[in-house]
Amino acid sequence: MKPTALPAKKAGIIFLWLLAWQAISLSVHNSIILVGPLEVVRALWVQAAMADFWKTIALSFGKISLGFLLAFGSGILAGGAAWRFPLLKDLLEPLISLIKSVPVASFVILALIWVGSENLSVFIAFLVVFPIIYINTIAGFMSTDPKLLEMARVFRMQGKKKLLYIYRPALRPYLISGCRVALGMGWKSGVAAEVIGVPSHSIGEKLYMAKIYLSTADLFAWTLVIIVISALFEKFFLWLLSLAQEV
Amino acid sequence: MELKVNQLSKSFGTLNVFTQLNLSLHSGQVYCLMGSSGSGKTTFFRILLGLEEADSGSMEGLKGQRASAVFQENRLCESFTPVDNITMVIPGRSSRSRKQAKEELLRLLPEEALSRPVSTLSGGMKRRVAIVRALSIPCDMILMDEPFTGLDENTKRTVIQYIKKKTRGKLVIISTHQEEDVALLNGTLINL
Repeated sequence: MKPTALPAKKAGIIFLWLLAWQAISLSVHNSIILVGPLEVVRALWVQAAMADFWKTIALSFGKISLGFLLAFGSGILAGGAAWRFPLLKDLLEPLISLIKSVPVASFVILALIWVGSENLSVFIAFLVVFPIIYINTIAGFMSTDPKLLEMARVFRMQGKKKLLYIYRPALRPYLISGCRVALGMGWKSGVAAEVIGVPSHSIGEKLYMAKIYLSTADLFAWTLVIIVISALFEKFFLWLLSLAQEV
Repeated sequence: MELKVNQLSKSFGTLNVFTQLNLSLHSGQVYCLMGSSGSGKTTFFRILLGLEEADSGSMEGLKGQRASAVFQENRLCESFTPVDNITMVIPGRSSRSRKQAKEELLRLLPEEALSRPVSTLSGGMKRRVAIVRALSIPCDMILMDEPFTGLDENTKRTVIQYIKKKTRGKLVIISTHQEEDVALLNGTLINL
């Protein structure tokens, strides 16, 4: 198959599904139960014309991204420290297991009491992303080639150079796969937290309003916004990580 | 430096690698370690480098001495260029190290190979990078575990000249399976 045929095939498949979706929505003929793609685009168009739409996206994006970035940085630092000092790893293990097993909804309600609704998504995105990055960082460090570490010992390589040339390449695939999972999870749980906490000017608030007013078109439109922003942020962040490898 | 190996023994479980090895080695000399596979050449190198402990015996003259090595496997960072691989082991600032690394590599490798990731180089080229790396750091003792593996005859002779030039005044121990290498290196034969 020609390389250009692949995107065309993909677009064709997506078009077929959109067509099926439109056909089903027409046959259901009830805009509360199901709306078609054309109505979703129309709802999105109406929303995009309002200044509040962009403010909502910017605030939600900023808060969830901040939570992700804080978790990314501290997850690497804590993972690195836990790998270096096994006692710290043992000490953190129950805490990480707890964060992983407690349902996000429980944390959201607890966080509502602790930090209030305005910064709720920062906290929840952090809480969901941190263990993923922490665990992947430890796994990455542990995957370092022991033969290269012996080489570094014989050549008395400086710590900074060891980190740059030996640990960084070992860590990179683990961080990339961790980020792929964490980015999606961070966005989903961040928005879910906003739906529960309903902070003003947030995507979660808009989804909540869509539920209150039974506006399925708005619900679909905002869901589309979440998917697009999440995908763009993932692409941008993974591109940044690939740049870090080349430095 | 003078290195004295006294009654050195090493075994792995029931397998005796060598027993009561005695050697007296001096700076400025090249020693060629020969022996069949499994005779303990690599293990001896690992003990000298401090990567393995002997079961019994002692070594004198190693304290405070800095060692360098060509490992049996190349042990290069494959995603980085040959220049990076040399720069990473040279102490100090990278900008000065890079210039030094490039100059040294050009003695054994074509210029086009210097900016490619090591993973794209041939086996012989990788071996030469490992040799240049071992000879690029300040040291008193150089251990080379079968350094000529994968090199054709002409390249091997060029490499031997390079080794001779760069190791003057140092203690050099090279393991090899080729008896002719002893003569080419003006070395002293040690049978293990």
